[in-house]
Formats: sequence, structure tokens, C-alpha cells
Amino acid sequence: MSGCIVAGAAFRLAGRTGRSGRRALCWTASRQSEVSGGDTQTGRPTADETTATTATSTFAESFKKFEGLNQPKGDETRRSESFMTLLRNSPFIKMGDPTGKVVEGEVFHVVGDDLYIDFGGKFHCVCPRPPRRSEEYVLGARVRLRLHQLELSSLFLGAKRDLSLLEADATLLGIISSPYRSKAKQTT
Amino acid sequence: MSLYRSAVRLLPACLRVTSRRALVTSSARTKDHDLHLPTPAGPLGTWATLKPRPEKYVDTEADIDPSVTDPLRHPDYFGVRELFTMSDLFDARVHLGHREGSLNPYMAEFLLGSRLGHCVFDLERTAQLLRDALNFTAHIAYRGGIIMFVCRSPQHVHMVERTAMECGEFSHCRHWPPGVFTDSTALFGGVTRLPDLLVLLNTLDTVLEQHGAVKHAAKMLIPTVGVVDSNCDPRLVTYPVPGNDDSTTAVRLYCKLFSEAIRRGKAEREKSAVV
Repeated sequence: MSGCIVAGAAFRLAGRTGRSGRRALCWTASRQSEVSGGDTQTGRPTADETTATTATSTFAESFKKFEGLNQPKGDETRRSESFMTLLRNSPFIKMGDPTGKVVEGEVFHVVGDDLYIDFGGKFHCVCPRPPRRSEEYVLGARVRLRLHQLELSSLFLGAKRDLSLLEADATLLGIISSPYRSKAKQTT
Repeated sequence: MSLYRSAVRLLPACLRVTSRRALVTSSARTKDHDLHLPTPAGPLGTWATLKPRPEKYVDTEADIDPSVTDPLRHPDYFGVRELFTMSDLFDARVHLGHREGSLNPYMAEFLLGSRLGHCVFDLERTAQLLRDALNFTAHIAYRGGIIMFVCRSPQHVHMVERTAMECGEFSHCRHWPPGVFTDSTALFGGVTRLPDLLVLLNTLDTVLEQHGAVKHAAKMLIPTVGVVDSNCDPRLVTYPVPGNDDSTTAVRLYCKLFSEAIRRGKAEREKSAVV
């Protein structure tokens, strides 16, 4: 089973990562539709009203219409999205089966040689510090992980319910960026 | 029950339950696979619903009538509806639940469904219940009540204790001795004023046991606001808020929201100098 890199800096939720690239295309298309005809879903003016305004619009009004075209999509539009839309477009759903997926995470806690890495799921994972480039695995380092399970929980003999370890299971693949590296660059 | 069936039908492809092999298969598991709904684990092994709550939810669409001055009659006196949005809940990973294998039957009604074995909460329902909980918290603070935060997740204890301290309220995030509420006079050596509200950010003590505070607060008629995850029992919690209680982002959001609600209640109390 080959791991595949999930699109858009993968599993880190927060739509900020999704705003670039693919998202911009969708935004432009929807923006044009808003400007031209009217989008019934967002309560934009109906076709009758827009034809009435375009008939008597001046240059100033036209300019105003296209003023915000180059500005990035604001948080207001995101706020009005329903839960279903957010869920449907989330990496959690798009990822599918988490086994074997390569995701990006951040080291948020270090205890000795154990790295606690948060990759955007419900739980964090704990990985041992690798022997190669070990000095770079510090707090705040961004790392690449191969996921095995989102939650380590299983049913044991005689139990009625699953027992959960409250942790995810992932293998550390390598460093993406590290504060150690950037610090070294600054000093040299 | 019908609500669940329609909710699952909305996204049939992605919310289908896949048959999952357990280390030991129990007879209770094999029942609901053909319905494509997560099978609650435990002795019931079937769906169960809580009794419907009689009071109305904090209505987000209700127009505020300026003539309504009584805080108790106001639909949202402290404006808790504007404290959070759906995106805030989603970004904080509130919708992520545990696996189906640890699903409590009484939590099944709060789920949207399950995604490849992982439960997903219905955030529309969570948002309603969270607004109610915040509204209630703000009202308790407005009336000068003592609020106590409880959290047993070791990584969040410090955050919760600091939150409680910053909003001028109390917390108990350590081991819960048996007689704290029920035998308080003996334990503390005198007549003790008990909290007027308990805010539980974890209703479980360990993964297997419910926190003693839930039962004891119910015995002493102390209302509780509790974040209930998919493996928790919501029956004794007065204002359950179904959502993720394990992720740090979610707990941070809850701390922020509850402390803001308390602050608003206290500010209003000082402003109006009520009894």
C-alpha cells in the first residue's frame, strides 16, 4: 500500500492552508457568478433587480462592484458556511482511510526522546526521536508522518467497550522545517 | 431515531459504517451493521435516547425586543450567540468523537454518524446546546453564583485552573474524594457553601469511569454543564454539550467561551447592582 500525500498540506485543519491554489480558483468562479447574475443561496439580488440596476448604473457603481475582486475571500464567507459544508470539504473526510496516509504535524511537546506531535486529528501521536538529524527535532519543528491509526483503541477480552489509549499511531518520516535549522542559518 | 436515519442518508458514501474486526467479537456488535449506523457499545448494544428537554433553546433568529428588560425573560440576555461561530467549533475539532467501539448508547443521538469507525458529532445540535450552556453559566454568574471548573485530562489541567483563576471562579482538577459534596461538613470541618454550578470539561475520570462529581452534584441538586464525548454518559449532566473533550484546541475554546460568558454575567451584575 503506497502512502499518498493528502492535498493542501494535508491533515492540518484550519482552512488557511486550503486558501491557496485550488481554493482561489473556486473563489474566482463564484465571485464572477455573484457579480453577473445573482446567487440565490447567499440572498443576493434576484435577476430582475440586477437587470434594473445595470440598466441605470454609472461608472462609479460598476467600479464599486469590482472593487473587492482582487481582495482575498474574507472570514465572513467562511463563517456563514454550514457544518455539513465544512465537514464535506475537510481533510478528515477527503483523506478517507487514515492508514498509510502521509500528513504534516508539529512537535508541541518534548519529553526526553519522546516527541508529541499534533497533526490536526482528535489525538496527537508520540514518536521517538530518530537518530539521524536528532538535534533538529525540537519544539515547533514541522515533521512528516505516516498515519496508521487516528485513535489507538481496541476491544479486549471480556470487556464490553473499547479501551482507548487517547493517542494516535503514526511513524515519523522526516523533517519539513525546524526552528533549529533557521536558527543555525541566522547565526552563520 | 428518524433524524439519524435522514442525517446518515445525506452523506451515504462517506458516513457508512465499515465492518470492523475487534480482537473479540461480541454478540451485541453484529446487530446494526445493515442500518449503516454506529453500533453503541456496552450492555444495551442498541440506540437509546434521552428524554426531550422541555425548555426552548437559545433562539439565534429571535429578534430582540428592546422592551424586554427582565434577564430571565430575554431570549439571549448576555449575547452568547455571538461568542462563537460554526467555523470556530469546526477549527477547534469539536466534531471529532472516539471510535464506535467506545460509543455510549445515550450519546448516539448527538452524532451525525461515523466516518470509517470514527464518530462525528452533529455540530448544529452541539451549537444549540452550547449556547444554552453558556447562557445558563452567564445567568449563574449574573446572580453571584459560585462556579467550579472540573477537568481530569492531565494535559489540560493547568489551562483550566488558570482559566478559573482569571475569571475569578474556582476549579478542582485533581483527585475527587468521595465526600466532597455529600459529606462536606465533615470533610472541611464546618458548614460549607457548595458551588452553584459545575462546569465539567471532562465527565470521565479515567477512560473507564465517570467522574464522581457528576453523580454527587446530581445528588446535591447542583446543576452541571458538561462536555460529553462519545464515550461519556450524558444522563446526569444538566446541560450536556456533546463534543470533543480530548483535543487541546477544543478545550481551549471551551475555556475561552465559558470564561467570556462568566465575565459578561459578572459585568452585567456590577452594572445593574442586582441582589
